Amino acid sequence: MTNHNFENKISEKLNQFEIEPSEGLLDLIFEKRAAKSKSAIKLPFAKLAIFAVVATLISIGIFHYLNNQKPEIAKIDNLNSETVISEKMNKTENKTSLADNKTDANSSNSETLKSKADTKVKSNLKVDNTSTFTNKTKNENMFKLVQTNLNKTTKSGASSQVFNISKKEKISETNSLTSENSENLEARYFDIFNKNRPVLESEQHKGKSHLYIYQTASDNYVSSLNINTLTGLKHKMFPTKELALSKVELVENLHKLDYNKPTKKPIFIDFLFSPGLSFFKPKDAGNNFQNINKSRYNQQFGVRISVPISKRINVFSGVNMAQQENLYKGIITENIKYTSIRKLTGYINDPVRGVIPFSYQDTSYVNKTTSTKYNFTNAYKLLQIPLGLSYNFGFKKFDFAVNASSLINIYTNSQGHNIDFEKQQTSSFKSNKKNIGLGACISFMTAYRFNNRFKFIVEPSFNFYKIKAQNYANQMSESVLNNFLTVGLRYNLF
Amino acid sequence: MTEKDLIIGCTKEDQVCQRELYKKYAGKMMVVCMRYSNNRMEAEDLLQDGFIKIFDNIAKFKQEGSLEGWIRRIIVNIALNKIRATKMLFEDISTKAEVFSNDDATIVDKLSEQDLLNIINKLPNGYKYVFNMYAIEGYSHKEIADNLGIEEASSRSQYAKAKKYLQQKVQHLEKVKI
Repeated sequence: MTNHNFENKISEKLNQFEIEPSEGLLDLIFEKRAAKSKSAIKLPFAKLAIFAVVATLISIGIFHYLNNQKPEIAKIDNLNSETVISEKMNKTENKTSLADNKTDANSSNSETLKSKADTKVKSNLKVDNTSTFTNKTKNENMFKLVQTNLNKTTKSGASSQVFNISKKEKISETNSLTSENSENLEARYFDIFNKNRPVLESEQHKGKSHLYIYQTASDNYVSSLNINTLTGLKHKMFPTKELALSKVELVENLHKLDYNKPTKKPIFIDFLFSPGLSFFKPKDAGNNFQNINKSRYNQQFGVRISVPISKRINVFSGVNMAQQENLYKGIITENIKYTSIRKLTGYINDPVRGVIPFSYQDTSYVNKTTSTKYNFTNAYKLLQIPLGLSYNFGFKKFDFAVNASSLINIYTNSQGHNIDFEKQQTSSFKSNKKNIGLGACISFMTAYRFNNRFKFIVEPSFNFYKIKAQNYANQMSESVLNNFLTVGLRYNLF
Repeated sequence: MTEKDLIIGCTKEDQVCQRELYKKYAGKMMVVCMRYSNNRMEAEDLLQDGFIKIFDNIAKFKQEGSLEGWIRRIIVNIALNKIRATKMLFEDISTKAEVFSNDDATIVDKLSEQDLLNIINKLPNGYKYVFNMYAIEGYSHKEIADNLGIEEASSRSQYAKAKKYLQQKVQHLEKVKI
């Protein structure tokens, strides 16, 4: 019991005891907290920057992968295709025999020839399909082979239906042929010494774009060669000439190419970095504020996604991580008018009572000018969500756009100082209160096209918003105008 | 300003309330910090870290217990975190095998708080922490063992030694004063 008393007494005495810490310790605590929250503000920027870099690298990787990958040749299930062809051949044989019976039952010689030709076609097609269209040479051979067979079949009087091969095969052939490079295509279509050069059926020209439609082995099968001096040479095969003409467009410039795709709507993903100068003005500051430096470097990172809603108009949204810093640096001069009342003593020389003192007051109005030097920054951390429209047009390798958007600003942190203009004093504030504000932005985008996927963006932009004082710990409302020169990368997602 | 107003104000990052809170508790907490450190500078570092944590987390205070208790707990936890980072040595302290009188508690009454604090601070760190935690903060030996990473038995024996040492010092100081 006694022992416990000993401890209790010590505990009691020490718990009542107080030692004053050093005077500046609390200010140090505030400073440390401010520095801590500042570093916490920077972290999302770092994260976003890393995300942007990673996303860009992945995009570049995907682009290179897609670019380097030769169009995969459709691998036809050998057995299936063989079965299809066999079925077709059987049907053809039946049809041929029926037709033959109808037309000329006596032409035994021609029938023999026909059957021989059919057998050859069948065996050749089988060989062709088992080779699975794996290389250009084989495709080339197939092309020649089909032509040879066409000649033979025509000679033998067989119907063109013999080559009405399944759709599956057409696709595979189209793909395989498309995989050829420009040199091979040029050699095939433009080399006048090439025996197998396809017959030109029609051609169209528009500016730098040229479209040639060639006959191929089958009547139901045409080859289109689309040459654009900007995009290069493209080769496609279609079942009909009409389809080819409807699908292959002559485009004079690249901009049109982007928007004239009826089936594939592109999505533009922009990774943006916006450094720039900010100007601000505190509300109710009046003329006092003239000598304060009102510009400050600010920056933001963002991702923007645009989708075309018509040929010229895009709708876009995204998210920007921004930190708005308003620097108050300079001298504020304040003219103060005040009333000065002085107590004075006067004297009356009374012949009877002698000198009599009396008090009176002298009231005067004084103009006083005071100057206070300021140097502090008000910082706001915010997430910005733009919602807007852009008008687009293009010229050669350049795309231009005028963007207008409203901004939804989500403030997550604010800190800085308030100025009491009357007392010429400042008081610090800090708040993690989340608030929403509105703003507006207009920007002018120029994008240079590297290739079909990537564009380099330069975009001067002006955004304006008000930071409402009552929502944050700040007592002064601030109007902000940011002049950014945004640079970025646009990735086209089809 | 009531305690509730103070808490609400601090939650809203109102500096007036933060200053008020600091003014109210900094003195007492400074003593706590002094008990867990070797000098004033170390104690002020602890106090600084403690109040940063208090201001950052005051919104989490549920107003179920006393605010002072909550603040004290934060300060002590910060001190213990720092202690854990350093290797604790239990130097051997020589204690005379005397049987002390039952008047120890009354002697404590006669000593000033500063004297008591000085005596405690003269204890080697390991003993000082065990004594502070057990006798003043009210931790059990198991909790002390868990917090300081020592054996429970070790905590008991160190506490007994520390107490004996303190009793010696208290009596000695009393004799000197007389």
